[in-house]
Amino acid sequence: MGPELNTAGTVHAYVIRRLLQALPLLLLISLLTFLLAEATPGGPLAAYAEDPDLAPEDLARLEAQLGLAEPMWQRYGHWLSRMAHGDWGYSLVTHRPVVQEIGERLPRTLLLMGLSLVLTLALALPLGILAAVRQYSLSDHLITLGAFVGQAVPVFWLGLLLITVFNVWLHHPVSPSLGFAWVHLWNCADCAPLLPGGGMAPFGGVGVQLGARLRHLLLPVAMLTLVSVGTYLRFMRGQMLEVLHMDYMRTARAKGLPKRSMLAPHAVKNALLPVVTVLALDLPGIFGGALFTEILFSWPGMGRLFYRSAQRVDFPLLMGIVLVNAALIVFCNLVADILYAYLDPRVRYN
Amino acid sequence: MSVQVAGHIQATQSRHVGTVHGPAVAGATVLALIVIGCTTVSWWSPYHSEKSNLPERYLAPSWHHPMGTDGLGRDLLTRVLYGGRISLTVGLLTTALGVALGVSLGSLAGLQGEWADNLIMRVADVFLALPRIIVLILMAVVLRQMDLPLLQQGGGVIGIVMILGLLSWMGVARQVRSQLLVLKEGDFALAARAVGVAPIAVLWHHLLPNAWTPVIVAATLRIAGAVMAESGLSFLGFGVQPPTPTWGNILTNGQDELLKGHFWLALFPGLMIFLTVIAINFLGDGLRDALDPRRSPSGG
Repeated sequence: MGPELNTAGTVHAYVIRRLLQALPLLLLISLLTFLLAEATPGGPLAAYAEDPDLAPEDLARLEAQLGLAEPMWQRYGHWLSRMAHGDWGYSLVTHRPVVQEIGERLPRTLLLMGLSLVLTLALALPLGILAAVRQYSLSDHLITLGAFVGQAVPVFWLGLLLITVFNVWLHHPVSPSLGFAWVHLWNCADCAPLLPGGGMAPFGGVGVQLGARLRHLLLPVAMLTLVSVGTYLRFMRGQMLEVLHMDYMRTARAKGLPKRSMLAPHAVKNALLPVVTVLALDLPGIFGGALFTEILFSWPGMGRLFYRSAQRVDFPLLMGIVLVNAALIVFCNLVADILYAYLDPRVRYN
Repeated sequence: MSVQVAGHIQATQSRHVGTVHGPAVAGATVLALIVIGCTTVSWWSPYHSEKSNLPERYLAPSWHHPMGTDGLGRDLLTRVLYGGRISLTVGLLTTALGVALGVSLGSLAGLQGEWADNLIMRVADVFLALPRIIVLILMAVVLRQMDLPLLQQGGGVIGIVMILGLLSWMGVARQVRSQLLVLKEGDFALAARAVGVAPIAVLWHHLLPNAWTPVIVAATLRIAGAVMAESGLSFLGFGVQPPTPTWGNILTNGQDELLKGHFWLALFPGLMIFLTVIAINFLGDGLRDALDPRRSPSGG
């Protein structure tokens, strides 16, 4: 661990090198996406080919106009440069700009994912530490079993179960005099579902808006959280166990340090570091979970947009969403790597 | 401390002389029951999986219909078990394809030098960098547009196996590659090459046999992933198409019925996916503990 390791210069060089590694990955993803769209029969004008109002010469003119007659690598180059300039084309269905369509929905997806990520970590990290510290105890076995169950539950099925319980089965009286104090099984005379089963928020004034928003977020966030807790919990437990068996922990124990002060600064800090990396690596999985969540709960985010675009074979939107997704994931991995390099002095930058 | 260590060593050793791994045995049992149920359903079930029987529609679970009946009066247990045939077959075929691809590409990456290694591992990075379900849907859309009759037989099972298999090789390839990078420098490999054994024979007879352990574990867990991916894709309508039943597309129907209060139509198909996945995961974990001598039975 020489002194040259953590100087600002080497860290900068490392950051730049990681950036240069991320770019080819993004390019490769864009190329594969482009090729996939190319492989689709008919190409972008397939929808027009059977239009009786469109003469063959018009079709040819359109083809030339859109540059479809050029060789493929040239088209890829043009497409890439248009993408880089922010011209992502138009949705084939709504005819609105792809950038606009995605821009509207991305924040909603990030809100959903962000909230559930915070909740996931708030649950998984303490439980993982607890399970490791009390290894082989009853609480450890219960927590580990719970994590196994959480990892095996199909995310879409969990969503259906949540809707069944909190939207179909549980109701609360609407009449304000009774308030929310009573929860009724099945439907009563003057009742509404306990929690909304979909959508973002009903129309209403500013005052009710926040409460309604939160009520609409509750089930989707719970669904996304419950399916990801297990992964982080097991990882945290494993990390913590590894740290607890380190020599310096034995030294701390031998010195007679009280358990609490031993765990907090020494063990937990070291066990937490790798979580940063796993968080970034697991991001595609969270995006996938968010897609199911948005579809089940009619959450108007990017995942649902992707699903609807896939149903309507709307390639400009599909490609746009894939690229935004890829860019976000590559970016987060980059941030995680750099963060890790700053946090852990043992990382070597070569 | 020393007592703990001693107990630890004992536990590790006894595991290798054949102590039963509780969860793994439970997993294997559940899995065996599901497989037996799926394969024998046509012998003992008095119900037809496709024919409608309208007088018996929407019956809640009972002795005659343990999982209830659907909107066409079909016995859900019978349909779920027939669906399991497809779901499990897709899971197995997908994994076989993924392992074959993974071992080949991993071997290429590990042995063929830097260029192949870089290319294969970067493509693996691409597939790992994107949400699996997004890539699956994208490929399913392209495949559907291609309109190939072979891929549309039986609800499109062949196409689904292809695209799932195409996305299941990365883990195995990484494992094989990293093992080969170490193994190929081993004395036994050098000796084999020195006496003139063909490279492919060195790979097959000398290197791969030493790399199987992690591949077997990864492949076992991969089956669970494949079952989950197929049902997710079919649930969204991009996988196996009805009337060919799978757990995923039976669950789609359950979603539509949910708000009408017919909860069993959503509960049981998902329960089968869940039980299968957790059983395979327990089995895979047990295998890993049993096959890897360096791994402690407790490790996370």
